[in-house]
Amino acid sequence: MSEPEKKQFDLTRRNFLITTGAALGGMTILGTAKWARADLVTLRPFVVDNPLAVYPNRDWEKLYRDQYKFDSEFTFVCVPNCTHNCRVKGVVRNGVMVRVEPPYTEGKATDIYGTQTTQSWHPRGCLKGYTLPRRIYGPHRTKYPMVRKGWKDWVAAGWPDQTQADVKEKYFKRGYDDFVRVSWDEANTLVAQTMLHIMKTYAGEEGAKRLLAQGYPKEMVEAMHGTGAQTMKFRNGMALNGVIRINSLARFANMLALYDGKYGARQWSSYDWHGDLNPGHPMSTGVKCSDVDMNDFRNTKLMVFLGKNQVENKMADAHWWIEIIERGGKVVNISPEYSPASQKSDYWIPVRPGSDTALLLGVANVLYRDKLIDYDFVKQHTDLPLLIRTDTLKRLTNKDLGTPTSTLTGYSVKVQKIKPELREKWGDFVIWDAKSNGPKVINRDQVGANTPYDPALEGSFTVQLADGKTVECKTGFQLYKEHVAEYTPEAAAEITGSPKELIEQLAHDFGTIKPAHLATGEGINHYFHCDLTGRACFLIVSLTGNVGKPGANTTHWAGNYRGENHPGLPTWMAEDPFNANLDPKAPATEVKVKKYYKPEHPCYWNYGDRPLEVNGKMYTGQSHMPVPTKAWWICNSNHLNNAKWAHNMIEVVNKNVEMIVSQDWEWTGTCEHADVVFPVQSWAELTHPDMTSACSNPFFNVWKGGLKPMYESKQDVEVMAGVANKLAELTGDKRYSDYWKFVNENRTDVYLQRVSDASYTTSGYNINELMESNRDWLMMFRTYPRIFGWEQVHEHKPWYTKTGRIELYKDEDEFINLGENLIVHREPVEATPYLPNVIVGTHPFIRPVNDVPAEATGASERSVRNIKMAWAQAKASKNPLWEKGYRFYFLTPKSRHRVHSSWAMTDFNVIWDSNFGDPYRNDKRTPHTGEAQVHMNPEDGKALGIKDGDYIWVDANPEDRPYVGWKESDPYYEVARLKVRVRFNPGYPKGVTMMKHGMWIASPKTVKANQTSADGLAKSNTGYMAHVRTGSHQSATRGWLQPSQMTDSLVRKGYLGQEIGEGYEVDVNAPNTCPKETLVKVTKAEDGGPEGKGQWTRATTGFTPGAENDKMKQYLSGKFVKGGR
Amino acid sequence: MAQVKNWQLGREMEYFYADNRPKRQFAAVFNLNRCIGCQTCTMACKSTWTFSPGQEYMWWNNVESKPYGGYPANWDVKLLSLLGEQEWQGDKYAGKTVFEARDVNQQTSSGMVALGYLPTDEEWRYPNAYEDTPQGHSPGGEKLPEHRNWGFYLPRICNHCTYPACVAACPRKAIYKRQEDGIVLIDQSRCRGYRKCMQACPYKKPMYRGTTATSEKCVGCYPRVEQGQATRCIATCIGKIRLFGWVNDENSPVNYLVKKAKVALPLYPQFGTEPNVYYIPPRWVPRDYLAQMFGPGVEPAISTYSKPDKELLGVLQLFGATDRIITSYKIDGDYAVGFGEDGKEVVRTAIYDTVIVRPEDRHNIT
Repeated sequence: MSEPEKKQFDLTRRNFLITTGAALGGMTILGTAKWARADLVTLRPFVVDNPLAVYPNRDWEKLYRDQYKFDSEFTFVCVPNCTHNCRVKGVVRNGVMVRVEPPYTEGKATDIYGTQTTQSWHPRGCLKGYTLPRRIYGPHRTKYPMVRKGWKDWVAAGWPDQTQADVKEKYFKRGYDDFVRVSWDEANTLVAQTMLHIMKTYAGEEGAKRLLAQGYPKEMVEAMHGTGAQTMKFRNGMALNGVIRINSLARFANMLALYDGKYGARQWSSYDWHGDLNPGHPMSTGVKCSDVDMNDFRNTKLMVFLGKNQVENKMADAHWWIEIIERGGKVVNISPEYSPASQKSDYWIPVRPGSDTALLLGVANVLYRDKLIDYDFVKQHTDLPLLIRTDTLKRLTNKDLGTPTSTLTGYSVKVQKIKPELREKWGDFVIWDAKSNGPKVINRDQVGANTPYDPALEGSFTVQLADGKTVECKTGFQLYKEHVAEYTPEAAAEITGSPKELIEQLAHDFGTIKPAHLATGEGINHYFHCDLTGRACFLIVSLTGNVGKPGANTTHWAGNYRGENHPGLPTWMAEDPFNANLDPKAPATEVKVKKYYKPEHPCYWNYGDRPLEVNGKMYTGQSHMPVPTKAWWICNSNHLNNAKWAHNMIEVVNKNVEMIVSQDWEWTGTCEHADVVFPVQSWAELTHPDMTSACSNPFFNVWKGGLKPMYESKQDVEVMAGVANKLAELTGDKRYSDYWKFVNENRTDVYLQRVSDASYTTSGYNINELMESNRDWLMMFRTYPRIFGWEQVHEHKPWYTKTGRIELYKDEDEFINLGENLIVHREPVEATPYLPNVIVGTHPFIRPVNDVPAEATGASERSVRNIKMAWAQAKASKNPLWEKGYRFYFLTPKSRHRVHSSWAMTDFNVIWDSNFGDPYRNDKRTPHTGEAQVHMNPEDGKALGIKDGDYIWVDANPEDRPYVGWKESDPYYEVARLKVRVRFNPGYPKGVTMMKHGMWIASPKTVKANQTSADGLAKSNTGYMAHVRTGSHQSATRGWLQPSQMTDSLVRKGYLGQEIGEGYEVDVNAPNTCPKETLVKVTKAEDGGPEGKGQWTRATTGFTPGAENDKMKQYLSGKFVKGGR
Repeated sequence: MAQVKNWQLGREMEYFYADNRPKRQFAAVFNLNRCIGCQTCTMACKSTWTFSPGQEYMWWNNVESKPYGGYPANWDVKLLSLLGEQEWQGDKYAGKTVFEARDVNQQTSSGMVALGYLPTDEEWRYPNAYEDTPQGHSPGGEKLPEHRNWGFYLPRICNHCTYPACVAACPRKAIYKRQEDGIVLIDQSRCRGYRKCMQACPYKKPMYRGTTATSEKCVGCYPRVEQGQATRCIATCIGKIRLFGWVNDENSPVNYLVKKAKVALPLYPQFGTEPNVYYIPPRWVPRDYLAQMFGPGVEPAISTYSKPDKELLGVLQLFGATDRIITSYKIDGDYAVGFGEDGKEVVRTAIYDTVIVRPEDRHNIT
């Protein structure tokens, strides 16, 4: 409170006592708090005749006007992992941001061409942005650099060999151990010294020997090429959210090449690790993900959601699709339960979890059957006219015919920069020309309207090869015609549980309503075979010509994944540390780029720090190969909390990791189990500028914070510069600190400008001008709104695949051997009543190679087992886990009240997140102001003797969950086993449960506090707090590795830029984590009633699902009024 | 006691005070078809007005998941149960309002306590109970025109009623309706926390605060409205479901939606308070339930809304396009234009979007 205000307050308070004393006499003894507003009392006589007409004294209204007052406003960008990145306005009073508002400036966004948005983009932000002050000033902020006590002692003891059990026991009790506050300098020193130690320990032959002795497979050790720095993993979480500050971790990883002059560290990826990558997209088009700006839905006439909840997860941009219903369009939703998006739908199709591909193949069946196909599109833009050999299952190429590979001069070379050796390897492809009735070679530039000849689509053709032999060939179109014939609507209905009539309806709508848009989400993507579903989506939109056109496409938004919106990023992430450009005026083109760091997928760490190897056979491609993990460092992510199988990572895998660093602005579950925690600034406090864009809207934002940074927090880029400076000091090598010169000089804008200038999406902008404008600008994509594939379809440019076409048939060896050259339905690898991973189909082109017996139950074995069956046979097969009583699907989607685990501990949000939100915590078992919950059909509950509101145990496959090697007697087992409230929801089909992901997981200290502290709050002495009493949704999840997503042969666009290559590519060709691959068993743990006795009170009122009294039934059927229709 | 005209009932009714309509009546249209239940409005309100001690249970704005949700718990089921089965005859309400059905034994000498109840402490807990919960699972799926098992979000603020039950009930006459904007306020200096307003308000929007021993309720964001700015809950509504306006001003887009296009209907008009938040009913919900909630006119409202003419489509674009209060509007070619009180343009937004193409060195695929 300022001095004048304080005086005012004192004065008011004195008046209050006098006034109330006079007016109410002895009533002041009731206490001052109770009658606090009596200071507004007036002593004048008070007569009110008609309060609708006149009220005598309205001076008191000043009360709320005063409460509303503010001093100033500023804007910043709210950048969680939500895909929207809204500019919001902070309203400040006395230096404190009291509330947040939408700025209403997006309608003024422009670019250098004079493009102007409309006010239909207003307003932006959401409930999360508007409770930001609760987080920024909340009790869970990280305040000072903190180091775990045991780890500090380990460093002080000279890093004794961590592989020894006694060393682990003494120094590595993460989660149990206390933290100590240190200075920034001390933290930097401890971290820098330990990094030097690790780089040395695991370098060269000595290092390799150590790692092999620790049991790492030789492939992993060889992939290090002798560089110790490779064992350190830096994860620039959701890189798009802070192009400079978050990617500073990749830059740091690149810098570490200074140590041995060979390689830097490893960069851990985000998008695929989050389960957000839809690998079917790069397999079909070569591009990481197909998406559009959401105002393109203005053009959509049929909107189909498949496992996508765009009500709950698209917030500020959801209105675009909902408005379709006001513009004569149709909305369809497909999901197991009547989901929020189902409400808005013209029709909703229920589906068995994990069976979506079969549904889509059923749709394809009808499209073929009823000839609802866009034949021109299919001929021009897809691989379906290309001939495939019936003997090898490979595409027929010019080499088979003995003609030379054509020389390309167009887009393939100029923009997609295909290397000559790749061209030669791939060759050209062959169609059957209906006019000349013979084979014709076409090359990858001959697409769209440039497609020559008259390609036949149907039929089998005998082709004479160069060696004089003949071979039978079929077009892809013909193969699919035969293949999908098996997936009749009847069969699809049986596999999926979806009504046959609605499958037919959907197919007819796809075939007749244009443009159609098919949006998928994590509902389908968190399954092992998400790639097949993604490919099947492309099959549908390709057959119906719904790609690349306004209002069309199949899309998949999840996460803020499009770091490649800023293709100039290498000038920052991969500037050559040996030749850092120290001239602030140097043009971006003069910045030398050399990538010394290597990307890696954290899914291998998540798989026990191993690749997928079964019975001595390696299923992880060479280009994907991980290296051992000895340190990991995370920014902008609650990495551990959100790791599938988190409790296994904590209890088993991290025990071999020597240093864990987390930089965050809240003390998350990751911090709670780390060694070093660096406090960083919130988005409203950033002292160094940053920039961001999105993948669902066209906005480009440059901003800085407007609040004084809290506590000792620093901006992330300063954290990295601080440790680099310390490395310079310890090694005497000035290049470490030079690499961060403009951060150290508070000129970070130099780096922003370089990235912007080097990006074809933003070049032409002046960063400082944008920053001062205080508003959104437009990303300069080819079109506004951005429409995926617009150039390919309108300008006949090749796709980013081998054939230059949308590839619905994959002829790479890996796909053929998996039996996935054709898009087939495979049962989930765990979440199925049938034989896990079974291939459903009989087409002779499905020729899987299988090395694993049908009886095998291990997760890795199931992952590589390729057994083909007809549905009639598959439906009689069994999943042994199901037979053991694990019969509930366990879906873990995102909550609208959080962004994954962000806002998970913000009290307002927690209250609204479940049935059990109560700020007064009348039931002291509740860990916070609310708690996690599992949705369950009431009939399932009744069958299990479980009542609405009870606590239940949720157990998954005991073979490896909650962690490998668990025993009931382990102290950590109690921490890791999920105990959670159940809440009835008849919208879920029987057998399907749901628990929203992202709550803060139980830790040893939160469990203890919940059980023993007076208030029962599940709060650690670090400030960490859990959302659940024990365990978490991760108690039921685990890591998985899909062979189809670890191939070396997939042709795809690079992460950044337009260049095409092969094999692993970060966030493009990599496994996608799949937490829905689990089945759980549910048992009652405790009564839901107060003090653990009886039923949860609300469920006894007669107004709750499954327990309705007569009044409630009357209400539900609308029988309280007659007439009015 | 007076006889007053309630247009929503198509008849006169009994009220405690004589009719005295404000110069301008605070009103809003909430389009339930667009609502995503995100609670952005709830948090915008909470973070502005009710973040202080004693206000922990207080959410002036809330969005409840129908049919099982409600804040306080199942308030409408309870009210309807108290009122019993009632009847509409065409557009005329033939049943009893909460005033007409009041219990004489509950009356104070200086106020008229409508039929109602005082929610228990427990009923103010769990404000978002049973989010996203339909009453059953349909293995056969759901289709328009009516989903059999359904759910929708009902966002609620104080209705700033023309005949507020809270005003009628207050024994201290500490609640009044402002002539300049129709906002209903509880005078915090005179309220003594008798909670008669809580008991009488059929929408259960006055809430008690233990630390001040007063009742508080939605203040219609008058510090904003006085500056020509829409309320926090409306200005932050990212679903673009909310439009602020003066319902009794014929030029207002709200007046157009309520009185001319008739796509927006009052919430439980049978309660008799003439509430001023109007809802475009959700198109998928069974009509019997909707008629129970919004009275007659549901079917025409849904059918007009589902196939809007250009004027209606244009007015629908004004939702959320500006945070300024729109007092009049026009459809200007392919633009919807809104004007402020001074007649100046406050918003001009395109009804349709077009695709703009940039030079070839820019790429859509990044």
